[in-house]
Amino acid sequence: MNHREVIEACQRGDDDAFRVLFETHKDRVYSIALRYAGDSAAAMDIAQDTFVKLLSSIQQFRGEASFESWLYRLVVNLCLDHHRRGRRFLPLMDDVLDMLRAPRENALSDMLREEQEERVQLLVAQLPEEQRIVVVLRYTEGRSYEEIAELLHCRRGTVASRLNRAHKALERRLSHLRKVRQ
Amino acid sequence: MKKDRFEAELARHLGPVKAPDGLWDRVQGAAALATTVRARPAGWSPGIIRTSMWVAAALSMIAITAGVTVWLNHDLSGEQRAVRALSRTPQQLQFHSGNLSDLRTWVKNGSGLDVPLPMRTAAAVQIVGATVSRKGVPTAEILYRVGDVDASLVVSKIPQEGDGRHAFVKAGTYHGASFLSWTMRGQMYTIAASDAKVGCLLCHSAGAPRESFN
Repeated sequence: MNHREVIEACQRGDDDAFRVLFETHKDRVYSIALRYAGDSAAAMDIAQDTFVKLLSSIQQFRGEASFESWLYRLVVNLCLDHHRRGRRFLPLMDDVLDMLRAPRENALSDMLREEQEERVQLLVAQLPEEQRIVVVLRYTEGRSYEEIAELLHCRRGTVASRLNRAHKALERRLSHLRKVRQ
Repeated sequence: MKKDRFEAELARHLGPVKAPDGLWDRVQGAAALATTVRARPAGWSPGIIRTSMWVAAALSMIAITAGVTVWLNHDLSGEQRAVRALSRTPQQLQFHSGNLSDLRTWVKNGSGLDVPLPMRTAAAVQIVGATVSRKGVPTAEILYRVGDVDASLVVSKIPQEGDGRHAFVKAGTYHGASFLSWTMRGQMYTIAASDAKVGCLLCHSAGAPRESFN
């Protein structure tokens, strides 16, 4: 069954097809949510809401845009809704959570990389909403400026300027972090 | 830093990750709930709908009464207990003191559970009190606040022994609160709060070395 047939089967209410669709897109949906929210619990909520919304509204998908774009718009809107609803994103204490996780082989380099990744994620989560979503779509999803503009219903120039402002803010904060660590 | 290098660094740190295994279960559960809420028979007359509503209300009352009875009597899971504990008022607690040493002794005497609390917590942590139960599996509930966040720690005995290391069991949300469970030295621990990770400050304010928790 190709992707289009899977979508059509979902529209007919085929549960197995929905599972296939979920398995195909779950990592991307969760990644966008995690990088946007900066917090795994909030990311789970957003990813869950995205697939529930997908299930309830897949009938409305007419195939005019690509399914991926349609799905990304769902997850992007849910990220923004989640933020606007006043949900507190607390991308803090991940290191404490790590302590509680089951033991695993931790090479020092892995630990440092994870630590750095968490710091970058935390800094992204502190960006203003409109800059944050652009950064996530650009670096987590690898989307072009044009694709981001289409997803967010704005102009390419707006995407470029938001990204530029985000770069400056992130670069400033990252260099500050490096100085603190030195 | 050059722009392309900086962008490469961002792409490396913000790249895609794998979705947790529990996501499918959560989607299924939420989808089933949404379907139940949305489902409403079409084409029924107002009279039938009114009668149905009365019947449904009566059945709901019976179900709620039965549910409350079961809720109060059955063995609750750690997360159920921890989330329920969040709604306790200080007056419902059996022990009131911010002294961690006294608290540990009181819990041990009352339940037989030795909860390895630290001698001192972060300044933001304020102990509200505790309560214990010996009915069924001995359980202790400790209530505290981290800043303005209410948190609870529920500890109960489990059959397996284990050592001093934290063995992560599960994390998630229950009735709007998040929880985190782990086992250690033959006891099950569950923290609940609006963000359970904040609750970890009770014992890990100093950020103990990671290896000690492996």
